[in-house]
Amino acid sequence: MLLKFTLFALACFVLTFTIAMLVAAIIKAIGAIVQRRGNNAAS
Amino acid sequence: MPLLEFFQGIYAFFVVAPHVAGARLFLIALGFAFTYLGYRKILEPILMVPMGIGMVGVNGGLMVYEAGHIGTLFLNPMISNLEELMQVLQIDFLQPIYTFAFSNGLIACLVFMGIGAMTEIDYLLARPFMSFFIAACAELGTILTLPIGLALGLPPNEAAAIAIVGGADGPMVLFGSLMMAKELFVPITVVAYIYLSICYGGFPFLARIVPKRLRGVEMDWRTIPKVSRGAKFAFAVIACGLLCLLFPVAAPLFASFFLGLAIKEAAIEGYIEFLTRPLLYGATLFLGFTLGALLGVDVILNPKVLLLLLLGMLALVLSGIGGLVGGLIYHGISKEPFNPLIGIAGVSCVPTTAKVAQKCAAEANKRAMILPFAMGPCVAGVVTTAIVLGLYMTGIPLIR
Repeated sequence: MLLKFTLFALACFVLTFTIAMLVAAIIKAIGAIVQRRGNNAAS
Repeated sequence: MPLLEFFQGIYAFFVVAPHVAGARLFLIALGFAFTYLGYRKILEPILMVPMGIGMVGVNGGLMVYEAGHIGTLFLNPMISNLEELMQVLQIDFLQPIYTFAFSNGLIACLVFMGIGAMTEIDYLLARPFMSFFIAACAELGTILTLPIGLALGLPPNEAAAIAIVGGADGPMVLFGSLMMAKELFVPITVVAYIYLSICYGGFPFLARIVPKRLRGVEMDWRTIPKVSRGAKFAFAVIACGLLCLLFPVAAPLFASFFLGLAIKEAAIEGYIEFLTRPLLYGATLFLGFTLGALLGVDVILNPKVLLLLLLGMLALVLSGIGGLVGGLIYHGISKEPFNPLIGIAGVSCVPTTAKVAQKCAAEANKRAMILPFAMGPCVAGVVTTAIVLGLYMTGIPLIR
């Protein structure tokens, strides 16, 4: 059971990293969209 | 009637086993100590004063009922029978708070709404990859404490609940332990809040693992780009949707936090005022007081408490080390100057760890101003801990 949960914990670490980077990528995309809309409105 | 029986609180000392009476005295003294340390602002006063008073009240106010049972007029967390619960709801004055706000995690969600409405996400949104990279590294304690707790004899749900202390987020620990290990939620939450209160004093020692020349690295905060309110609002709504979609079990926490955040960015002044003042302070007051009232003799005599104290400390220390290692890695890969002390801020505990990073950097170099950069990982740490909590709450019942 210990091995099973150690592997589970490691998988959680990898998943946390992946989801965190996905959220960061979404933030970047939102920033880019908002900036483009701002530029369009300004021009 | 004998005089002693007239003063029930004192009489109750003599009708229980000596070790129980001793534990009761210890808890009363601990309650006084918490109240005093809160008063002196050594521990967090908004939590420690009500918690200490709750402990003194519940352990002092023990009485012998007519049927010979010993109890208090505060609350009874062990009731499961509906008829008995209806009766106790009309007698014990804190029972309505416990039944309707604790056992379903509502109080943690209310605190999270208030925190969301107070959180500045500008720095997180300005440097999202750095912030989330560091915050994910600072989940090391949350991850490693699960197998360590198992190896020390805890069942998976209890090991996971205490591991969440590594995320350094009080309401999250409360919510997680209520959902995963209800019978241990009082000691786990109290352990978490005590450790979180001493983070500011303890983490600077851990920060010394970073060489002094790196601790003094200067960063130009004027390079941080401005983030529009629209981008912050869009982030709150989209991140809420995404994370609730991924982890429905932790959706109450995500929805509460991002609701507060969305209200702040939408600048709904009446709601902001309500969430950040009466709601947050009211919820924290009853959280502290009810936790104190739950800290009775049965909790302290539980042999698992010592293990929880050890594992809680280990989780926080490992998370701090993980964050600092993340900071050192980012220092190595970043093209711009980067102070690795920012890593400690990934542990979350908003905004304490960011302040610790700034304090340690200023000690090494008075011109080092890293607080704005540290706020990014500090806030990202709330999100990554909620992700780990969602993974644990979803995964553990599936693989048990």
